[in-house]
Amino acid sequence: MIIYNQQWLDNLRIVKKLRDDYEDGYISKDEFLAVKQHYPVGFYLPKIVGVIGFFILTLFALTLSIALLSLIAAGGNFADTPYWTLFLCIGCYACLEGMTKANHYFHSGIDNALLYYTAGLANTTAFWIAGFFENELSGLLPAFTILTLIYLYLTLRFADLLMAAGTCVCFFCAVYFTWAKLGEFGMATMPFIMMLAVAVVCYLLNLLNKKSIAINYLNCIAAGRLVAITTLYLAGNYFVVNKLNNLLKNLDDSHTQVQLGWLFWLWTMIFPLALLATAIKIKDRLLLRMGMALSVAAVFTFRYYYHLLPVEVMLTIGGVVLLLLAYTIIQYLKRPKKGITYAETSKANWDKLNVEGFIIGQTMGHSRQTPAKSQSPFGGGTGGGGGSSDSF
Amino acid sequence: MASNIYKQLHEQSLLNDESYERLQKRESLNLFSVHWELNLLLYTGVLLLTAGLGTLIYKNIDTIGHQAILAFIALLCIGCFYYCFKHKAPFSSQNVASPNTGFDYILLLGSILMVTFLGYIQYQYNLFGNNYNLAAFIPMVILFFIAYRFDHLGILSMAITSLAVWMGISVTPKTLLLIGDFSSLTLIYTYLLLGFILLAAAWLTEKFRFKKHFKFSYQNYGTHVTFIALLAGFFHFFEHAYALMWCAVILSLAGYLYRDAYKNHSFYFILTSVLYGYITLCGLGIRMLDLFEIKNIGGFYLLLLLIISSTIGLIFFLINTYKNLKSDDHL
Repeated sequence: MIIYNQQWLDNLRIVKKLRDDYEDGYISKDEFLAVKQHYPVGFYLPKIVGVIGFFILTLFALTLSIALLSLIAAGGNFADTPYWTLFLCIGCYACLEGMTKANHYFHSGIDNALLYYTAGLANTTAFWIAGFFENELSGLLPAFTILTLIYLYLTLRFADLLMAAGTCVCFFCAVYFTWAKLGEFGMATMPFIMMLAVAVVCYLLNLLNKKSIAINYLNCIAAGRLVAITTLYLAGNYFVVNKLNNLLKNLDDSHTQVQLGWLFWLWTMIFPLALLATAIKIKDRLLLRMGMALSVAAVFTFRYYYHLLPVEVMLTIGGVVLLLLAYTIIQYLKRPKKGITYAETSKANWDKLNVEGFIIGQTMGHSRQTPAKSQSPFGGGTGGGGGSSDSF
Repeated sequence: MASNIYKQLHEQSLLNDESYERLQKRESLNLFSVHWELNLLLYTGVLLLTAGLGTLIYKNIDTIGHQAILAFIALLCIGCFYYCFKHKAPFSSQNVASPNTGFDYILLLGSILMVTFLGYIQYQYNLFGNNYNLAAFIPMVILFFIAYRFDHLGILSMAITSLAVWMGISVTPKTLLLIGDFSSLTLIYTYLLLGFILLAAAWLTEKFRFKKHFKFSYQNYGTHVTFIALLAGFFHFFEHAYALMWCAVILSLAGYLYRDAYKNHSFYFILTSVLYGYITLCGLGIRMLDLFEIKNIGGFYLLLLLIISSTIGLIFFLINTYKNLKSDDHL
């Protein structure tokens, strides 16, 4: 199913892991070079600067090419129909398949640009056929169903993060519009159905995460979980429920009461805390960071409805509390407790901090298999020596 | 899963016993570092606290008074620098590691406070009068000194920025009104000069092996400032024959920087020099079409085709360059 050479993918995984170990000083350079030689990777893998450059240039070339083709086709009747974008989409996909296979791209920028263009054109086609641009909402259910399948296929074929996230989003939209067909009753029970759907997806993704069959898709699964957990929280967030409720019943924003309000408040406040507790317990970095982000969302939700103190006093108190909290935890974790430590487990990466290393590092830091590795946003920077070292 | 990989590598004798044991030990410890998360918490706390206190002070400025605030900033600043000078590492012309993790942040805080203090005093009490030149010059010199003395890349960037501010101000006091407006020739020439100074600094840094790791910052700022100023000049004279001269300067500079970047294996600078050169060529192409009075739809098609094909060509050229770079890269 996957377009990439399986042997190279396996080798790449090993080399990447050992590269981290080498940069953290666990193995010697000779050892790393020997491993690299023994496990050859044939993909075309530019550094992040190259990936971004190629991505932008390809996007530019594609946009101009499509503009030129559309301009030429504009004389006939074909270009005014959704089948024109479908045709472009298929053309784009053909280029993507051919070029990825021929040049051994692996998320090298060029294939990313082609892939996102394909997905974007598929979106346009689906919404166009569904009549979304004429404010027709009835066609959205089939559109999202088909898009879910398309995104799922693209995820399986290219193991791309954004495609995985797109699959989840489209699936949840499809669930939403299916349940909305039930009318009044459907809208009233919507939060619970969404929670149920998300919970099922989370469970399945967690199961998949441990299976060897999904070894190429670990990043995709992480992206899917991110979308799923966010949706799970939003489905029960008081603000979201309140706004959707007002929207459906044509009420204005002065209505801040919803049925079962206490339950949604409880969900808004408890969910991030539960997420944090689970994250610490099972040592899951994704959950930990999401717990932190969703706690912020909870604070903002509370603040939206209850203005207890002026903003600046809130900020000052919040800052003091956060500083004290962080300081206490750092003191507490001076010696590792239950396998959790404040120390950086990959020191080497930080030493190379540099503007270029900074930029490079942003996209690294995703190895699910190595929970011990600190996934700092600066991890994996290779900009030492002012960007002019031989590794650059 | 991870330990399986190590085991396999060890059996193939790609890892020696010592490394293997070290890695095994790490895997068995299974440490989970929350360093990043806790640091984020700390930063957010500092941010919230400063924003909150700042607003509080701003709202109560009448009861607190400017002198008290200035004195507070000065005290804090002196405290930071006292700490830094006490814990400083000896000066060296090479890369110097900072004494501890907090050191860099304290130094940064001290520098920001110093700039704030000087700015505040100028704004409130007009210390330097209308001599804006001096008001920008003093912090710049201090910042450069700190950057070199304590080996801090962030402060070097601050110093370079204040150099730009100083040069801008020394040309015309109304620079602030003209920022982002490249229609004035004086401004273009000033920025061109700044760009060349930075590029020269980058070159000298490498040539004399004095703080060699600063080269990237100089070259990064220098490349962008120079090329943007040159492009502004090119478009300023777009309708004029002088445009060709500007074009020639851009292309030769791009060629020089390309060679330099190739020698230093820096794909980032290869990319920037090639892209700026390409933009110039596109501009030149458009001017040519304009010159030959090709203004109908056919001309537009021709232009689109030219740009598309040249972009695709550019992509392949860059891919090839990257492959050549890679082939003498050992890691």
